Amino acid sequence: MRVQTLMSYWLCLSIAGLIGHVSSWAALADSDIQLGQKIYERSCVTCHGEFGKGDGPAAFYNSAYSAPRPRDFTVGNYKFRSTPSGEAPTDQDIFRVLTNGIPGYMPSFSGLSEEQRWQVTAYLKQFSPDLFRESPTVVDLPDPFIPFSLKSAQQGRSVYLEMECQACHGLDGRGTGATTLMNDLADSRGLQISSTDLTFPQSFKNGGTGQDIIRTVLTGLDGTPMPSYEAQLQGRSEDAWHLVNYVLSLSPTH
Amino acid sequence: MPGIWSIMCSPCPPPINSVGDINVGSIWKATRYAPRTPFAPLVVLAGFLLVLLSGICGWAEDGLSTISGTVRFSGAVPPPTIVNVLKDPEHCGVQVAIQPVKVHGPAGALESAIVSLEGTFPMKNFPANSDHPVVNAQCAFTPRVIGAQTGQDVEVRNQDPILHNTHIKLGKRTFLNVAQVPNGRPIIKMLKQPGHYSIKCDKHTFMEGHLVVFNHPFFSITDSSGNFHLAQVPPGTYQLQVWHETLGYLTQNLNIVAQSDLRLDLVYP
Ligand code: HEC
Ligand code: HEC
Repeated sequence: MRVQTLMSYWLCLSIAGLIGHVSSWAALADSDIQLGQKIYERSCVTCHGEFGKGDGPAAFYNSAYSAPRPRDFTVGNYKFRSTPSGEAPTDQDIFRVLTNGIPGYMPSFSGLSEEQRWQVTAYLKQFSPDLFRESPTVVDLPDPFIPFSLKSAQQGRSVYLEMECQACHGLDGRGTGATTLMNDLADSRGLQISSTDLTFPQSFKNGGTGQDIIRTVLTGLDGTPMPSYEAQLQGRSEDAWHLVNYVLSLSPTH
Repeated sequence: MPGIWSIMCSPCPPPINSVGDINVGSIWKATRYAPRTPFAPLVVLAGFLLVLLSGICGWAEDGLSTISGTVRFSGAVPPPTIVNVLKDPEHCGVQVAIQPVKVHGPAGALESAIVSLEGTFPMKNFPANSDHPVVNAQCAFTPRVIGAQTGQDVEVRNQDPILHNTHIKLGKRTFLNVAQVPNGRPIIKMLKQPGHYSIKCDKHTFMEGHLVVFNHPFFSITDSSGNFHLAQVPPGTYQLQVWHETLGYLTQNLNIVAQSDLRLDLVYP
């Protein structure tokens, strides 16, 4: 009898403890999202809109009909990922975009504390819960890394031609490929989009370092015509870095 | 209902396996989990029930029905769309004629319409492993219309000596956007979400394809004689849908009784 009473006390206590434990986790996650929402409403709503549809009041400052419009987070297209085409970005990817900003289109939010950037990241994911249900796997960067040299860049030119980057970015990399000049490249909203001028890496939205460029080329930019070259460059890590070095060599500062 | 279904069928797997593996998932569940049950009496009871039900099992296995028939088009076939090719005309041709309404024979057999059932099915785990090639050939997607099941793969390939950029979207969302260089590697990706996917090439905007993904195996794409065939349909009420990329939908409500063999003749417009 006594043993049973003790047992039931113990059971009650442990259940209560467990509930407390679980709810404190939940509370933590919850408040992260809630705090993120506050930051979002202060810093992002003007462009991305209250419901994340990319239709905030300032979203129309250049034109409603020119790309890129502020991202519609409910669609679930993320351009700047470290993950394969069509997959969700990692939290780190979103964090990186917030930290660096998007040159020409979105300010850097490095003025927010790191914690605040994580919180707003958590909040953003609520706009497309389906997309973030599975945790994504990251694309491996080609190994070993080959640092910039003119020789590597020269070798990279033939990879650039083999991959037919010139179809969109042009032979000189200025974004003047035949496909681009015909003006029928469009983003996911159907708005006309041009191919990036590769001679100016400072303006690359996804970053202009070698590591950034290889990430762009391997993963592609979802919601735009820029395709993923992951399969085509698989097992060709040297060629991949030569290609990157060629792109870097197009810029006058190199 | 799903539970009952799996119990009924678990004692007689061979015939079900042989006719298309519809219930393999639930058989596994039933046999794997039963021995772990800590309640011995329940196990005995369940066993007893199984023996009882195995009598009805004959009904369960050939209670499944078949729906087959033809889809036809009557009237004048719309003319093909003529597109002037501006990119890679030396390979794609200076003009392409696109005719999505493929009608054959005097009866007007319609090719590449997708016939499917809408409704809830008494079982859930439909095995699905097969590849659906999406081939870039002569600046067109072959096949142009694909019906597939969640869990299956698409395999994007390029047979042309030029760059293609295969961009598959579900609504506005990119499912896969991959460069296809000449002699490049194929790309394989599993379909997880049902729905209507569009297949485009960002480089050759006249290229178009459709991929319709179901979370069940009750769909069929018409062949050049307009024939379709839906097998192993469990009894129930469904909506039969026929979809064609330019002609749209035809629908019909069906009440499928056990062990029937229904033939339908469906005519557009
Ligand atoms: C001045 C307007 C503006 C403000 C303010 C703004 N954004 Fe953006 N944001 C944009 C635009 C424009 C794009 C799309 C750029 C593109 O597609 O090239 C974008 C894209 C993004 C992306 C997409 C990244 C990807 O991988 O596709 C994220 C994430 C994002 N914004 C988050 C935020 C968050 C969080 C805030 C607030 C802390 C914020 N933005 C504030 C304009 C803004
Ligand atoms: C089908 C056309 C197409 C092809 C082929 C293509 N690109 Fe792009 N690329 C684009 C478009 C369009 C953008 C701009 C996307 C945007 O602004 O959101 C882009 C953007 C980029 C960017 C800049 C991303 C940024 O951070 O702003 C780099 C770097 C790039 N491409 C490199 C390449 C390389 C290298 C190749 C060949 C291996 C290649 N591209 C092939 C269309 C293409």
